[in-house]
Amino acid sequence: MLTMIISALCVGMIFGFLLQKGSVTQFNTIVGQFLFKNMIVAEIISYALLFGGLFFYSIAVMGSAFGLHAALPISAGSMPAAFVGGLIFGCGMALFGYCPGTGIAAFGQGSMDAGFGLLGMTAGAVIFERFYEQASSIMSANRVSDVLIPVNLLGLFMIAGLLCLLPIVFRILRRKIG
Amino acid sequence: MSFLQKKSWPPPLVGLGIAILYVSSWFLFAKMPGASPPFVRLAYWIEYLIVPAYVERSVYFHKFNTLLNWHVFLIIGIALGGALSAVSSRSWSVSQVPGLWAERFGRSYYKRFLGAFVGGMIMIIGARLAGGCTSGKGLAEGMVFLTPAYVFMGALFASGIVTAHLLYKRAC
Repeated sequence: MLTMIISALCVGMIFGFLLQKGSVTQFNTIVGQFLFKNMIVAEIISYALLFGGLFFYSIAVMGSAFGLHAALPISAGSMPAAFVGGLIFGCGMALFGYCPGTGIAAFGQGSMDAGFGLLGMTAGAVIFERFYEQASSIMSANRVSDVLIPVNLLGLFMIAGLLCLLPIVFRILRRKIG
Repeated sequence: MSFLQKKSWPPPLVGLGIAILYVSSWFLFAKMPGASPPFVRLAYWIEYLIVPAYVERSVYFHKFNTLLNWHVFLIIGIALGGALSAVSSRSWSVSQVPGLWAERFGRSYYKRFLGAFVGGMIMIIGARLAGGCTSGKGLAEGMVFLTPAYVFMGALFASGIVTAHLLYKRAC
């Protein structure tokens, strides 16, 4: 129990710290990304995904070379639910100006508006529960656990290659938006 | 000025930090961060105090019936980490109306708080339908390149861009 609490608090604190240092706890950064005034959100997410992929795939590929099996956090998810959920989520995120994680960290940095969003999220959970029966038909439809990049040496090289391209891509994007 | 006192860090470094954190969290604690499920647990407990008979029959709440949960402590940590980071750069301050919002909707606290409340409400419905938010679905599942995570992120950005242009474009 105590290890559970301490491990969660530690991971959370580092996460919140990084989000705040990344400026994604600012309404202007999030909405500014959607308006193409900056590229910070896309840049942080892209680097996180590719570095994360590099580490996960390296561990899995090297582990299997030594006969070890490293379980990756792979789970099945519904494609239509991801699509419709993403559309609803983006709409709310543009109005709120934070996502759930950054909203919590923003509340920590003193943004009172984020606090009201967190209350709204609790209210939204109450509403979602009322419609769970209808939603579950979408959530159980077309569940897949396919990966876009194969978990092998070739996949690892693909991730490394994409990672090398990122600085160039974002330099061009930043120049474009001035 | 030390690195920790800086107001912001370069995005590639923040991305790398998040990646190391997620991978460590998975291999050390078998958990991937995700910020949205605790709000269902909070909703469960608030409703439990008002309509206990209803929540006990609920199929959905059944999976979220305790607050003593790893992700609940995670979000407490996120708030503390955000506060600590702001304090470290001496930028912690109480604020109500962000600049871009004020340019379009004015300095009214109530308008902004209402907008944030409704926005958060819509957002969590999308997150619960998709099975996670930016951190739990986009990042956690995206790091192992699961297809639904990218469908979610694509839809999120598309609708976020359209909504933001409709809401705030006149200010630009």
